[in-house]
Amino acid sequence: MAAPWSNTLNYKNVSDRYILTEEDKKGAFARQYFEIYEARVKELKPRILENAERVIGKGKFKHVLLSDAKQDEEIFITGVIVKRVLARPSILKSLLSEDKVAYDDVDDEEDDVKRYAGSSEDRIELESEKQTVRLEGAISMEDCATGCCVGVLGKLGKEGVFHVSRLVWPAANVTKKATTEGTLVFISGLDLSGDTEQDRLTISGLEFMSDWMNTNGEENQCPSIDRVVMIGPFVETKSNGCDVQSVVRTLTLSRPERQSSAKSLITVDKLISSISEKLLVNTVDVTPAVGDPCSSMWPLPPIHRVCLPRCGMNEKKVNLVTNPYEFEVDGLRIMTMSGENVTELLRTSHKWSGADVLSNLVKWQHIAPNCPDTLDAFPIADRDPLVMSSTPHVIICGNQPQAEVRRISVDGTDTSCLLVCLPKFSKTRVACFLDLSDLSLKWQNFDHQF
Amino acid sequence: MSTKRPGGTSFQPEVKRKRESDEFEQCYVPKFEKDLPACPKIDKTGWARPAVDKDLGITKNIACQVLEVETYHEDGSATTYDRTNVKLYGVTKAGNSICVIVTDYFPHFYFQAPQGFGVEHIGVAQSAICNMVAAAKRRGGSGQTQLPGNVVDNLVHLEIVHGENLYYFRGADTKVPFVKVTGSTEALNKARQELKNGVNLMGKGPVNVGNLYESNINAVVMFLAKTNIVGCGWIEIPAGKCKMLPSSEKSSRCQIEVSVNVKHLIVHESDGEWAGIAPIRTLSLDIECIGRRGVFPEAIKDPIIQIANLVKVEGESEPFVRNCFVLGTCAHVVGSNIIECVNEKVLLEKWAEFVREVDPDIITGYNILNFDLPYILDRAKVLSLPQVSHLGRQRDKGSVVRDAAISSKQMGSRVNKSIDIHGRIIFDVLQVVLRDYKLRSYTLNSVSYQFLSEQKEDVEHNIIPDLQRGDEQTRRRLAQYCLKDAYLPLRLLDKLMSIINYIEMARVTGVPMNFLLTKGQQIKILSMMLRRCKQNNFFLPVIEANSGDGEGYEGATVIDPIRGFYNEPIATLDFASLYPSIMIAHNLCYTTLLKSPQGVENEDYIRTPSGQYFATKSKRRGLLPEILEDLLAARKRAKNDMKNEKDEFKRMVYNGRQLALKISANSVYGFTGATVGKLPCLEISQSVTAFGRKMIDMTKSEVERIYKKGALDGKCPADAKVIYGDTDSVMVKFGVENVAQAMEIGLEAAKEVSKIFTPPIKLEFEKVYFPYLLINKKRYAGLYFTKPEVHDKMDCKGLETVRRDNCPLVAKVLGVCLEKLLIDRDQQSALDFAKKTISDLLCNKIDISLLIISKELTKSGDKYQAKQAHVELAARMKKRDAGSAPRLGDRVPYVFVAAAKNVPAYERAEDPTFVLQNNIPLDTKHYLTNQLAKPLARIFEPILGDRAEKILVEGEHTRVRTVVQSKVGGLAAFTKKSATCLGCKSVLPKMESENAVCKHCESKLPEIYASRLITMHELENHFGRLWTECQNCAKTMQDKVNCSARDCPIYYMREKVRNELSEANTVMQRFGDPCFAPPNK
Repeated sequence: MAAPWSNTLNYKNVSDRYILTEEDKKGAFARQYFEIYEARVKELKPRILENAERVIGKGKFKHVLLSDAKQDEEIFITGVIVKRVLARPSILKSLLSEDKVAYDDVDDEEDDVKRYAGSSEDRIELESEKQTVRLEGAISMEDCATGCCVGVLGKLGKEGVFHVSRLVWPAANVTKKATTEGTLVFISGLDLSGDTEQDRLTISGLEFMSDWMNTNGEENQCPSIDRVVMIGPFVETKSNGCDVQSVVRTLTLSRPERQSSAKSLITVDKLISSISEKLLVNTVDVTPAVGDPCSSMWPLPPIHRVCLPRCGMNEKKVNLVTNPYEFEVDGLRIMTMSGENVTELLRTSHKWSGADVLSNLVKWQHIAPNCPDTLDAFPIADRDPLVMSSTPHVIICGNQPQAEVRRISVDGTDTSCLLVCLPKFSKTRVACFLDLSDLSLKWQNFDHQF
Repeated sequence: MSTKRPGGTSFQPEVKRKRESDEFEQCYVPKFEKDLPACPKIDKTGWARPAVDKDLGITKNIACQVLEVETYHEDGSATTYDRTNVKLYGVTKAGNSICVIVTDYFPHFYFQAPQGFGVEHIGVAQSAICNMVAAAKRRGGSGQTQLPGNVVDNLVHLEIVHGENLYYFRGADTKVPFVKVTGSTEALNKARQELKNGVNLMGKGPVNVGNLYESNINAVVMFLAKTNIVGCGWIEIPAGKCKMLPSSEKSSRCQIEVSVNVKHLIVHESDGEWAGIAPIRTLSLDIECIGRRGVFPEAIKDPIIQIANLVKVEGESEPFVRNCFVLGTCAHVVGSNIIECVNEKVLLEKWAEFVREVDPDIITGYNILNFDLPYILDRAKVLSLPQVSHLGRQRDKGSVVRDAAISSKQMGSRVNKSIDIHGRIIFDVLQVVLRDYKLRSYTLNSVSYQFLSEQKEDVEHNIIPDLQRGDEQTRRRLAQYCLKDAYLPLRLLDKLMSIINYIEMARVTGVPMNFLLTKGQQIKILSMMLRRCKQNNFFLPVIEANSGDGEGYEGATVIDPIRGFYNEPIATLDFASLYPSIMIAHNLCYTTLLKSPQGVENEDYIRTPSGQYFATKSKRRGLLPEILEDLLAARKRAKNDMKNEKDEFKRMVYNGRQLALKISANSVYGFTGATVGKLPCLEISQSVTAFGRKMIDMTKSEVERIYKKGALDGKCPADAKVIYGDTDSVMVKFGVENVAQAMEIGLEAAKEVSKIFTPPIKLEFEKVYFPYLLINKKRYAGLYFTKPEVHDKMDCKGLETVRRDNCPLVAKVLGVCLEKLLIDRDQQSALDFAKKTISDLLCNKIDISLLIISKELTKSGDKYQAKQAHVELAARMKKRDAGSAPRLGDRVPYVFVAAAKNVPAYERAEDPTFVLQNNIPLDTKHYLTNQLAKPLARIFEPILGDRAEKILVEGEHTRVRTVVQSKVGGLAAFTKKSATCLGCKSVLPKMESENAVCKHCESKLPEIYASRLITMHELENHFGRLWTECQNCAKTMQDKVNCSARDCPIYYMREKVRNELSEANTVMQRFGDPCFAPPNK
């Protein structure tokens, strides 16, 4: 028996901020969401001002409170963006028109994301220090998302409209990029239903992959793999992190009975543990998505160990982690996310692709500005874990409609960031191999035709 | 401390009380003398109206739209005599406010000239009456003991005119001499009294003149009818023929004040050039006042802290003034003007100045009539600020509040406040909605939700003092609420087109706009009658109202329904405008009514089915039929205009007009039947309904006679059968298969059967129901087709889908069941759904918000005759916490909770919030038997037969029930909680009480965890969505949601999910840390 691959890379889990502390959990559900926004502003405002000094120039702008603004004077204000989009799902509106709306199930067999229809009444507002103004001028729907923290330079006009001349986003923090060697593998979205026929392609594809990772022969091109990062959802789910219809259904008595995911969990347990046993694989990181057996409020805690008893016997090789998941290997900082945040953002624009959204996230310095607005969030007070405290070198986003790769430079720094959109394994049987030496990607297809 | 309520209409605060209120102010309202100047700086841009054209009235005619009308008394002097003048308030096309004083108009009444009375007697009679009136005036002690001779001589004037009593046909052209008495209103009132006692008219001793005519009619309506001016119509004052009053002589605050003789007024028809609407200014306002704990704010003690105002010009989309008068310092609100006032006195005075300056024509808001405005005026009295009550356009008159009872058939009786703000119309949106719409709840919140699909953050009264006592930021928050509360009524008026509709109604009926809101239906018809009578010299007799139980008469007929579920097309034949067309067709009118038959039947007179006699058209055309013909023709025109009009705004105007015309035409019949009315005539209303009944029966037999099997060239597959008929429609089963066939025969039948009726009575074919569920009289549901392809809507009549005294669950279940029955035509799935809902109910799976019933607390407990659930509950809540308990006028939401068997229902009501917090079990059985069972059984009876209720209430699906353990009361105090296995519920031994499951269940751990997660995920999802929805609704991300809108569908759900989620979360914690590393044990 060949010696198991030993840990050569220096691994560090840097996802601490995604884990809920006792403080966070205490009386959490008596809170309201405004506390998250409050914390977000508190964390990002200094960074916006820092950036403003860099791009506009120190002393060249007048930072005031919106309430002190005088008409037609150029000022700089900071606040949170609110996009008032008519098509945003609303419980109240759905309830009013309940007899007309046939509930459109969010997750039908469409590959692309359903986008909201635009409306002439859609507008962008900025909430700043408890005042709200409408933004016009040098800002478009594509520049921002609800929940972004931003600084705007411009003038206050009549009737509460603010004319923007320039946007300033928060300054980015980066750590020095290190070079290293080795291979990481990423897959996302197994979506196992528990129905053998339906899961056939996914299971065989996964078995194909784990077989490939097992044989260390010469005809095999499989490199040694330092970590396999498996991103959820492992079990099929109808939920997408913001299911308004579920509430409406409860209130209109049309709640469907939900099936327990227990059956598919057994398969998941088996598959993960089998991959982790493979010779070429060092460690398997298991990071959940909304719908997996853990809380469904962002940031998601790890999948609970009681669901994966088989993996538990191999606990050294299976690592249960949060979503988003951030780790360092030899100083290289990598972040993975399950993608609901990006999918929800995609709905609000007709122009964006997944990579556009990811690059925006870096620009906005926030992993999910739409959380809690259109993404269920755990009501935390005093801190916002989803603010990018440090910009990662690689961002992998799972469950995307299209595979995409983009390298961007991080604004205001000399480093770059690699953005990857990873499609669902259940739909494409594709895994992503990341070569750490040059940060190059290889898409490997494991479609197994019988 | 005694807190007596101010008694009734006028209360004068005692000095002692005032001191108390000062003390109160000292401890509860922070002082701002240090922070704010004594007089706030106010930006008044845009407040003033446009400047007046100097040539108006001199070289240019003045045209204006008349909005308000009032009459006033002018005392005579040595040179003039007593008169009643009229003031017309209006707006010119340029947007200037105007007050037109119309002089030389004299009100009048008539009496029939006594036998032998001739022109020669006028002098004697006039001085006799004048002297008696003068004597009465002196007796009355009106201050003028020394009346100048000139005044005495001209108190009344007499004149002989020829006319006829409106009632009864006495033969064509039987005009007889009447004496017309004119004079000031005051003199006429006195004269009326004296005439009753007999006056020496012909110098031969007292003569009793008998019945008076037109002396009991509202002076304003009388004036308008006499001059042909209609409410909201345009008039023109010719240049040179009027007197422009300089500001020193003005009696009003209008920009233009002009006096003109009544004969120079030019009145325009509301058509063509004059169909438009002037730039009317609407002010919407809302006040906030600070209340003490647990007491609804009382004007005698609790100060006003904010008044928000928005001013808009009719036809424009956004208000041009937005401001808020605030007590104390307050942070800026972008887009609005905040006016910080140092104390309440300054606030009120500045606000009143603002109102006078901005000079609105219409004042609106939500419930301003019964709350905001009276409160402001009462406060002004308490603080002795006479200037504040000067809100109207009359310089010397303040506004006063009175109680006015209004009772009408349509609205029931209620007591409203009546406030006269001279020259401005109070257009309370709540009153409009109450009149025109039937809703579950009439809070501003739920009304906005219904019509704007928008809500506001509903802040509980308890929070207001905290916000006021906070800092300038919290007061800013309050100002935002206040502004929003003022903004929503404007949005509602826009959306509901109320102002336009009311203007059109005023034009059609001729009464001023404010009459439409403050008076019932009768005044409208009376105004139309007066106008018509004037042309034809008919006089309206004064009829003593004989209230109480007058003779009743038989109402409309109903053909007994053949109940059942008809899965085939049912055609409906309707009589178009049934009652109006009966009156036209048979010439039913006051003026054609015969005391006894004269001449030849059916030629000179007809006998109605109820046994009355009326003259035929050939003898005399009745007035009512003429009015109705005009109304119907005008409606047709308006409908046509609407069809051809491209401009959206004008289309709305036409639509408003045609609706107004329809309502007016239909209320003529009711007018004749109102025994307490001004002109009751039961003979007419009895005949109308009798004709209606006969016609329905005739239609039935005619349809069944003609459309036998094989009729219409074999197009009729079976004998037609009338299955139901009601008032003005009959439902016919032709036995055809599809909608198109039913429509074809229906059209044919409407044409054919119409032939047996006198025109313009016409049967119309409009719709087909398919399928049709006929439950009982006036209760049916069906899918409504007007074209063969797709249905227009689901039509439900008389079912609990719209009733307000049920919990929402009933309406929801019925709605879904009917949808399944009618649209999906799936009886089984409808039944399954009903059963599933019942079983969900018994298993406690129904959301509590669907089970809440709410009732308004209108009077305190001891004033109700029987004990009522919501009253008892309010009393109990007051004991629990006086601060949050509902107060008089609040709606009390409640649910029924489980209790011992013989506890009466009213004691089982409980506050839903309390129920949620304490996990109190609901009385699901009560909901099933008292709320759901009957309505459900009713719709299933036609399908399942009489067993329906039994099947639903006692079926298999009712076997499983869930019982919840309460946290309070009963045995809760004695139970001890011990950990149980999350899998099999067995009690865990003490050693293992930390574990999630017992030893036996350990192997099933993943399953148990997964199944717990299903509920967990759902709760999490609900929590996230509900709270962000509220944040979006409140339109703030960074501020706490303070909303406590009890009638919002998500309020209870949101509170419930909080408790449940934290409980579920605690349970999940028992599974321990999710990661593998430190292994348990």
